[in-house]
Amino acid sequence: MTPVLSISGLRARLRGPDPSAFVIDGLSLQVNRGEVVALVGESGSGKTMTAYSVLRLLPPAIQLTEGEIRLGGQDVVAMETRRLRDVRGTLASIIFQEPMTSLNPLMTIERQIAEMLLTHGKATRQTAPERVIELLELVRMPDPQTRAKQYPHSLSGGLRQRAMIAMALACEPQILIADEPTTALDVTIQQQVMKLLLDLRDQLGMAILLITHDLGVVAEVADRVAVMYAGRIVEEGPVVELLEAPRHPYTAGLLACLPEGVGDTGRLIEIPGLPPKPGSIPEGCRFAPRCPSATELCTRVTPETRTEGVQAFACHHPRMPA
Amino acid sequence: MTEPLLSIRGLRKTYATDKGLLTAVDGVDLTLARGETYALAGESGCGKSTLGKIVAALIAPDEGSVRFDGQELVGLSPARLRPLRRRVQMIFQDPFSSLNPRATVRRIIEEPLIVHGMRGRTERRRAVAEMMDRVGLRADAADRYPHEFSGGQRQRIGIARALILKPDLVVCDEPVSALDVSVRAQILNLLSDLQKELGLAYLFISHDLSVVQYMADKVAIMHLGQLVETAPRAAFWDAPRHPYSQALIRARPNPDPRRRLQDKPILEGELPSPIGKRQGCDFRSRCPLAFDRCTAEAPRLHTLGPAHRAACHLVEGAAAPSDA
Repeated sequence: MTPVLSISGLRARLRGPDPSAFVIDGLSLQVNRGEVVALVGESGSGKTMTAYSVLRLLPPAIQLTEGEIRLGGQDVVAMETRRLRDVRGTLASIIFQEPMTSLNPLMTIERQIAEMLLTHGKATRQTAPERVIELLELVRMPDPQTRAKQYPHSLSGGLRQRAMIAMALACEPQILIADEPTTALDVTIQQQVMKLLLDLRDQLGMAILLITHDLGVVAEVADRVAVMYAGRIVEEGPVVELLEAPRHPYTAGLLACLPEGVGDTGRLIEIPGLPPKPGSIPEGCRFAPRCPSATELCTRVTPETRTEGVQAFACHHPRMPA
Repeated sequence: MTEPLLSIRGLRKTYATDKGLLTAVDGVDLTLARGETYALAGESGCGKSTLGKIVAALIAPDEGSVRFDGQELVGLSPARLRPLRRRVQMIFQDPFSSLNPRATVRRIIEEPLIVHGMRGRTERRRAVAEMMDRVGLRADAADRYPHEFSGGQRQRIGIARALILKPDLVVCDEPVSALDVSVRAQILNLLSDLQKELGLAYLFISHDLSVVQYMADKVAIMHLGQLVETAPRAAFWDAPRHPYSQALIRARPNPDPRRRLQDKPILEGELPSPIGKRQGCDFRSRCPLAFDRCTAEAPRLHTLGPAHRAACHLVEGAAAPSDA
């Protein structure tokens, strides 16, 4: 079966004098129907830019230079703008960390969702209001009739996120790209929103590409995980195997430096240093300068991605399998 | 018994809004010992940052008392407050907006010494250099500006600025919330090391229970301006008594892939508004255990053990007869 989303050999760089300033540097990833894939990384890893590139929403300062992105089999990179507009919302939708950035503050919730429906020919002026209420009910908006008539500012953060999800789902996309959808929310509300997304996945069969820095959220909701570091996926696998027996030292480091990893008096494990910036990526393995297992080989030769069992990883000195 | 470093009694702070009176802090009592870390945890809008700012004497409460090392801070004139300010410092969440972008790192860290008229120029420079070294900033950082640093490095600058006056108490307001996990571990370790070395007490404000579990000797859970539970570390994690504490602990995303969200009970509903008059228990609309009495009567804090208190009608029977 064709994957809903298939990215291969993607590269994108900062426009400017430095031709080597890659923010995404040879990334391949597939998301299958109904699957929740988490793309995990720290700030600057390129995870958000990867998400944006899927809908060709990269900011002007970043240029896609190589690679292929297919949504439902269709080539996004070569797509003409008009066709792209159809694809956005119907094949794939995106939701953001801060709903206020994608909700229009001057329009009622009803009007914004209705516009989405009308633009894509999913409703008429007559049928739209009813469909809007259905969508708000779908995302379990309390008191949808009243909320539909309100402006975004009168909704709480959690309810705004629900409104944004309703808008993203208006045209029944095959994949929802969720960029840190719950990072700005309190934990109890975060749980409600994540649970809603999972229920919608079950109900509508859509896939979810979840962009996050939070391994706790990943453990709770993802089917499969891809860990990104400095523009590349360094490890990928099913959630249980990857989190219980990470093969890449970076994945292991991310897990070890969580406070949950230590006892009451223990000291937190640190990953020393900082991730490299685009343009100053070290030679060989880009994690080598911070890696406890690095050898001379790592500073010279970039490790190829290899697959062992269900996990794929790019490391010369992987950790022992489970 | 020695006097506690910080003793808060009956603290209240309200704000007038165009929708009515917003009660940010609603009758809080808290006692903090020297060298101790007391975490103040809760969801956004619960009043934890307001409480922190009152302790740091950045805002004045409407009612109540804040005694620091035996001296009342509330109502003190600015001149009398100044020597005490030296001893209570603050670290902020956002290392991007809490540092003057036009000052060099040296100037930022030196500033508190200048404000408090301490030491000559050469001596100040030496103190700054020592402090920079102590928090893990390289000497060549001194002449650079905040924007040249990463979030973690900026937080080190903020810590150096807070500690240069050798305070007894540091109010840490979400000090690692804006940082990536690998950097977060570095900063948390630094804060623990500095605490041991300098005998600091921390009022550690955080929404993140994982961080709280790692850092705190005692935990206070705040909900709509009130403390609903306070407990020493072990009692809190082993036997939390308030349904809200229990819900927060359950809600914490844990990196264990065998505990899936779809199998967990979750808290439904939203927080009630902090504006206007409230009746009964503020948590009852989201509480799975709420019953009639919770609507009629607000629970008071019951003492359950040493420094362990919870404000819930359901713990009443288990409560110890007298307040600790």
